[in-house]
Amino acid sequence: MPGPRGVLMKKPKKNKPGEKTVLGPVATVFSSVDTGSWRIVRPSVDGSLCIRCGQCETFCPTNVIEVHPKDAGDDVKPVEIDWRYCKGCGICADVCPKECIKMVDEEGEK
Amino acid sequence: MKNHTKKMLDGNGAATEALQLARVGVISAYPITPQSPIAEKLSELVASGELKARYIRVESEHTAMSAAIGAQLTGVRAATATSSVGLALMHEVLGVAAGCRVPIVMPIVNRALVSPWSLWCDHQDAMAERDSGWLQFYAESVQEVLDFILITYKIAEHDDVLLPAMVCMDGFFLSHSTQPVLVPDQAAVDDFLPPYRCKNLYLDPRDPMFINNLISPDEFSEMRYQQKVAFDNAEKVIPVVQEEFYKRFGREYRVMEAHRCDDADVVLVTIGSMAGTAKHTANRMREEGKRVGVVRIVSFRPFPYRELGAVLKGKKAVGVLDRSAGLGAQGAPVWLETVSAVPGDKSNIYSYVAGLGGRDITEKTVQAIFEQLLRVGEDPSLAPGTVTPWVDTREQAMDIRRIRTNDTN
Repeated sequence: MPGPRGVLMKKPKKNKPGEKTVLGPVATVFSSVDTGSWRIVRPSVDGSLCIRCGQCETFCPTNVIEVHPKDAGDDVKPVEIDWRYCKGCGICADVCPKECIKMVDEEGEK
Repeated sequence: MKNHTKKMLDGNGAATEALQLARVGVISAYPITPQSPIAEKLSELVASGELKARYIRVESEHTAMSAAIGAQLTGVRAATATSSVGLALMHEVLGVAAGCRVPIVMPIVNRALVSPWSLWCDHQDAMAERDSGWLQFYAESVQEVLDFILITYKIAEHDDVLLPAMVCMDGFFLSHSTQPVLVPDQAAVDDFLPPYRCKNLYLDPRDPMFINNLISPDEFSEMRYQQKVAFDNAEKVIPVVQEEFYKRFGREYRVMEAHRCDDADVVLVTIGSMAGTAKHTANRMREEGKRVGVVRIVSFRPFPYRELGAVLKGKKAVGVLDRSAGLGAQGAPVWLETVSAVPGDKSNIYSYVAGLGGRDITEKTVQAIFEQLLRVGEDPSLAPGTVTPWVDTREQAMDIRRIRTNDTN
């Protein structure tokens, strides 16, 4: 809206408790954090072949893989992946010495 | 005699055609929005063999300019182009091209400088380089982008000038706007623009030179003075080259354009693509009997102060519409230059800032400025020094970001 007389700047409204007016560019609503939504292929782990060496965990660039020790219990899968952030880059499948991680279509099994 | 082909081109396409017509021999470009199509199209032309040139894939704009300088010193036209923070990253090396008198011609696709991040049109990138020793020309149309690049090669490489030059086009408004363009034939351009040869410093193993060495206070001023003389000479060379271009290609250009200024009461000084909107608005207001005129600055460096002063002298009021903020100065950059150019009383020259970060400069914006200028002398709120120039800013500018916070400070 052009200010036709060039007279500008209404006084800012008062902030309510818990509110603050800030200057310059900033976002406080993070609509794009779920980077897992970028994924078109996902790692599928064959737990029966996994030797829990931890290579996938070490090389994962987004730090979303946790390799659990054998004594964590029979119901705990050896490789746990945080699907909210895994982008499906495939580096884990690449470095796995037992080749027990395969990249499958996003629509495939978890 | 017809010596051209009509093509539909956007500003980036026109710049690419012009660089190709100038037979650039080395390209070192780094892509940046909205310049990327120039870097991409040139690489395609080199890959397909249509343009016989070497394409250096550089890792930054700092390197793009460094490589272009080195290449051009071997005796070819070197091409690069950039925008915004890319130009800012070149800043250090721009001075090298200028000081070593390497007449590189570089298209600049004007885009805002950070922060806030913006991909869109604003002149702050080029204005930040206005004292870097480069000639600066601002295009209004896509045809001008092509023509100015060809004209500028001839000016920049002139024996008495030898200065690098920026040909500026407004990001998106020109770079991505498709318009019909008369593209001169290669033979006609070859005739106008002879093959490049180094007229000053050069790189040749037979004559070793250490170019850009350290200079003591004993000689620094003199070398800077040489550059000042080059700008003085450019003032004389530019109209001569523009006239030659007119004779060969039929399109007439000046260092600045005065549109319906002779009998105007008030005049608005513009630069870049906004001038089209301003002239259109002036024409419409003229039909209502309002005596308004428009000046468009074509050559910002050198600044056409004599021509501008002559046109603006004696006007009731003058507005200067800048597309960059000029933070901390009394007014924005084009206004500062205009005030210096007008002899006598300057209190009726008003600075306006609009169109920042891609905001459209509309007829409504221009009309509001003209109407304000027409009231100068009658409206006490328009006494000199009382007007805030930010004409298209929202009224609640200071509180557009209200956040929830746990900060108790």
